Amino acid sequence: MNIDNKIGAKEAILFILIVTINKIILNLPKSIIRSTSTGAIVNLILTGLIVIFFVLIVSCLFKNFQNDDIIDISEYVGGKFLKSIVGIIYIIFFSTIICTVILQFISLIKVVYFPKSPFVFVVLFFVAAMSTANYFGNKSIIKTNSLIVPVIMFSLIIMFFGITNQIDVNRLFPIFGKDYKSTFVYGLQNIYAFGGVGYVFFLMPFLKNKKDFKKVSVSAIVFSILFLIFITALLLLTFPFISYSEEMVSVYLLVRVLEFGEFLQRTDALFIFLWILSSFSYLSITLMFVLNTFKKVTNISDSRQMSFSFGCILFGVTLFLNNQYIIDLLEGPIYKYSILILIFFISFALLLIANIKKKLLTSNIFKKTKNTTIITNGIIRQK
Amino acid sequence: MLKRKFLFALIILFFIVAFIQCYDARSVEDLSYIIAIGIDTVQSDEKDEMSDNDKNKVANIEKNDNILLTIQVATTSDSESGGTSSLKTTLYSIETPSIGIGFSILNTIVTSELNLSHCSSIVISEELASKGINPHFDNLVNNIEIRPTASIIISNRTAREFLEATSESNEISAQYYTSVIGSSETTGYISECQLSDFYASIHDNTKEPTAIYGFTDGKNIEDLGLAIFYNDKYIGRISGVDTICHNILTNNLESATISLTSPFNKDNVLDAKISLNKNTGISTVYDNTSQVPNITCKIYLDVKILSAAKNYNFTNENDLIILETAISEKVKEYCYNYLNKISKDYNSDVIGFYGYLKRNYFTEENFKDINWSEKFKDSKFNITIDVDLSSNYLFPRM
Amino acid sequence: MDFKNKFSNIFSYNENKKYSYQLSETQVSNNIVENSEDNSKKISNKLKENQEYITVKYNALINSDIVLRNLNINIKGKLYPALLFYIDGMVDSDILNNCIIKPLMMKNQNNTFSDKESIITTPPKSISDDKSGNKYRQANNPSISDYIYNCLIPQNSIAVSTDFSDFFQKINSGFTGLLIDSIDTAFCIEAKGFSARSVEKPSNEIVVRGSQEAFVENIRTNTSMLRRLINNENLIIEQLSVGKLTKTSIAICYMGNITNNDLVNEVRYRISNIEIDSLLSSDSLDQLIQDKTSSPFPELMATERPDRASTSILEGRVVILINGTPYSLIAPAVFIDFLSSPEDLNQKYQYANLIKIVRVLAFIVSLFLPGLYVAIINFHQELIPTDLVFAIAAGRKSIPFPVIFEIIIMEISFELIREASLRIPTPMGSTIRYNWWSYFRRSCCICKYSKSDINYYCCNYWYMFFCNS
Repeated sequence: MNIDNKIGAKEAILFILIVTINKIILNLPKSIIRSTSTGAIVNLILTGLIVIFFVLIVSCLFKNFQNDDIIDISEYVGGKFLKSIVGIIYIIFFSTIICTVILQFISLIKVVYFPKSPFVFVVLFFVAAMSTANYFGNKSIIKTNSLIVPVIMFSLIIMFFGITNQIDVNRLFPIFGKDYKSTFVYGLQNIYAFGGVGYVFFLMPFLKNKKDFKKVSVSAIVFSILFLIFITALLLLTFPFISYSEEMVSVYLLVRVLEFGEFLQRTDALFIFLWILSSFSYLSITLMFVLNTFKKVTNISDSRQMSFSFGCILFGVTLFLNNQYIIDLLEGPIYKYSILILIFFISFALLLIANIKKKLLTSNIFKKTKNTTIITNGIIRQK
Repeated sequence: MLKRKFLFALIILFFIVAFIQCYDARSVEDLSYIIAIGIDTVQSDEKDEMSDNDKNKVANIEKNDNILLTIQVATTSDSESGGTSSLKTTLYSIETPSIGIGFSILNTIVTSELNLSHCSSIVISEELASKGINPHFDNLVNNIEIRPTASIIISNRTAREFLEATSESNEISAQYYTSVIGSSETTGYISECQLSDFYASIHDNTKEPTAIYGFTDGKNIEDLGLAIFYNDKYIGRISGVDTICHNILTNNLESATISLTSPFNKDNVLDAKISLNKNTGISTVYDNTSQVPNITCKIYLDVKILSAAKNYNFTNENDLIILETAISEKVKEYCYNYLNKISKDYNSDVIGFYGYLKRNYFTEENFKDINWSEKFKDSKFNITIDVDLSSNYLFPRM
Repeated sequence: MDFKNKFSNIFSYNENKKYSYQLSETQVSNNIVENSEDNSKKISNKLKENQEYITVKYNALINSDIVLRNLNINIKGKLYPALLFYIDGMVDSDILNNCIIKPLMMKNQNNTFSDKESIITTPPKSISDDKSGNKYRQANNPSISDYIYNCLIPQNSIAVSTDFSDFFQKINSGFTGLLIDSIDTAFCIEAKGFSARSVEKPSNEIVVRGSQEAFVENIRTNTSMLRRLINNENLIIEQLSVGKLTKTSIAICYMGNITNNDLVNEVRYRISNIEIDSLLSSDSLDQLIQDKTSSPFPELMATERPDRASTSILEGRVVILINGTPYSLIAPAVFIDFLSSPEDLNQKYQYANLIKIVRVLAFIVSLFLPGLYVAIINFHQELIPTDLVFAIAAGRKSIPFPVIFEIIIMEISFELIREASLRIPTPMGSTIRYNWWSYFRRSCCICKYSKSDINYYCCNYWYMFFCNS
């Protein structure tokens, strides 16, 4: 990794946070509320604690691989074959995320603001932006992201002040939702909400100071938890029908009812503009990981030129998948189970195996060294 | 190098062509802005004004399902004199099976495209509201343009008459409905009810919706009282005084004036301005033995006596205690009347006591057996009022 | 004239004999033949040769301001032909006369002898044996060039050149050249006296409380101002020259004990590696040493204030002064520097910070407001309060243009106004401006009555701004 592409701790926290922010905008709180009803907050606290614990373990396991990401670790475990497989899986995973995000977002803005514009142009808008951003390099994407994320975080917090008239605290009760099982047992699946953990596996080579890895990953997850709880609480407090309704984007309903006195009403247009910027940033970062992974798998020197090629492929796939049923499938079970299996299971297992392998190898070397000394001393001891 | 420049220029040209048409651009002067919507049932010639007794009869009469959709459109013209304080409005009405189709047909009548983004009021006739407004309402709520902060008004006469009365008013402006409702809020005789709240309450099993009740005699309008709903059906109205109690219990009271007989001289009437000192404390407990909800309300009022102090001394502690007791009893009486009306007469939990009941349980499983819609009318209320007499204005003693 | 001649005069074809000149794309020959060997040609000890060379090189027969003054210098009793060479207008006549010509021609006491003294061309073998009664003066017998350098020219700055390239560079910058027969060196005497602008108030960076001095075109005056302000021996002012033809003097100024050496090296490297014929302005240098010329954001800041330049030097930046321009360049410059004013240091921090925030807001507004206006009017009418939307709709009913067209025309108009106000000659400018703004004001009043409030307020603001400027 070129030294110019190293980033500091704050920038790293922000680029993991953009994942959660985008997912919050694209109906993640609604999925959680649908499964746990008013127990969503308790469920999020529980799953958040589990994810923090998970991230702490991951950061401990990464201590032995200070300059590697999950692709390099898979190479260490299973050679180039495993590296290729894992790389391809991750490329497909990230590409699916890109297509899903584009489709979900377009389904909102096309209904609200671009009913007459051709679908192709709206998709092209997103694809061109992310491809061009990747053409200019990693540094520009990460620095721009560092500017955008604080603005969006601030705008999400501002929502609270515009919605105080509509809040009814009674809507948060009962605190554990439908029943204990759905909140504490079946609700554990909701750890997929913290999909930003997946990006933590790729973070290590980007960091300037490797010791920041633990701090960065835990801080990012904590902020994600706080934001998710905040928006989920706002939705629960404002809309009593949120547990069983089937609206398009819940957070959009929230910004529609914002009122800042008599003068400022219907400020949803401003929020949508900020959300478009955040989706650009998120898509650019995800494409950046696709290109990096592709570069590692295929051993090319510069992956920047591939940004437009990948852009064209993703453009075609997005146009092909333009169907509400497929969008629901992608954002629902496919996304959920791919996060659970790929991030929380496969990647974690690879990391664990790599650590065990490293430990065995180092202890074998130690053993060989010990046997040698025994032989040279003339005493043969078998251990 | 030249090839690259050419390709770059081609891409730029493509984007210019793609975006320059701006498919969704509609300039502000190309639209007609609706400031109020009225929805009525279709009137037959022999039909008289409804009374409460006739409501049932009306409900049983077979009618077609068409509604009369009326829109009040603001006319903007570039005139040399005058300001924006005075606005001309035009009413258009159409009989239609649903609101969506109604708007499309009205678009053909009105010169410019209709736009709902500045609609501040939705007026529904009492007759239509009593049949249930949900089918028409969903159409409005699903509309992207409409403001969720638009007020819902139930009119004693038809909605068209209500809107005609406002059109004839010389004071109409863009903010007419907002200012009328805003001014009434300071009296406590109405409670603001917005489209988003109304829709949320229809789908909220802890609370029933309310709407502003508007009177019209064909020439003037007056907003007074609340319309009470059960699910989406209008079942009755409460008076202005009852609305004050409603506002006290829902913590929406800015200030209100009540009058009571002076405890020192029965011939005198005392006017008192009341406002909330603290949020009203409500607790709902379901008594499993008697199978009856017990609702306790603790109200904290800040009172200022508007009348000059005749026959008493505001600085005397004993007189103050007598005054406080009298005011407290009066407000309690009003509150009990109101609560009995909504529980026993209407059986409509507009305050949201069920929501307070939920606080006592951890999961929905624990209270799903309580059938609140049946139990509410048997509720027992216990109200305590804490009055803080803060001032007698200029003359504490006469 | 008979009919035939008349007829042919009317209908005959006459060639157009109007003179027109067309410059060929490729130049066939040049008046000046450049020989790379000439650049390092050494000064000859024959005055005639040197004079001929100078005459050819400087086209002295054509150039009216090239002055070649032949004179004889009396050195130790012997007359040597000499040549004074300077450019008229670049030397101070008084210094030339009093400090160069007079000492050489008249006040040469070392070379004068009383009646009783004479130069003995054949000295005796031993002075003590000489019984002629001659008085002997001890002579050190230095070389002639040393003798001239040390004794004959009472001037504070003299440089000695042995080759013509160095000699010409000095002459071009205002030195006076002295060539003497039988000596193969030339003396470059500083007698600069070209007229230059004196130190005045800054014209573009005006402050209320603060220094009222600005840089001038002369690089030496500028460096002297920096020296006075910084008043520290660690201030280093390095001299470079840029431009093959103009050899413009560039000064790099920095604090030796504060500035990062890498930064200084980088600046020096970039300036030294400029290959250009001429450099006449600071903006040209700015563009030549930038990282990316395609980026619209500037990387160097230009200032005409010595106090601002001094503050930057003391912060560890490098200031570049260019001879011939009153603007210095500060390297490196970050974005917030362009939103800061020299007045900020002269005020309390609370007020200065508040004004800085206002400037940032003004920057954002000026960048985004036209686009935001178009977006809201065309796509997001719900964002505008109801009263205002009716007022705008009423006002726009009579306007035939779409909003985007209006805004583009407005932007172009403002650029035209800005260019016109800068380029128009002053005698015409005030009259045109007065008439133009009277018309504009009248159209604003019409706007007001048509209730187009936004247009009215915008027009009024710009009217007041331009009337005051």
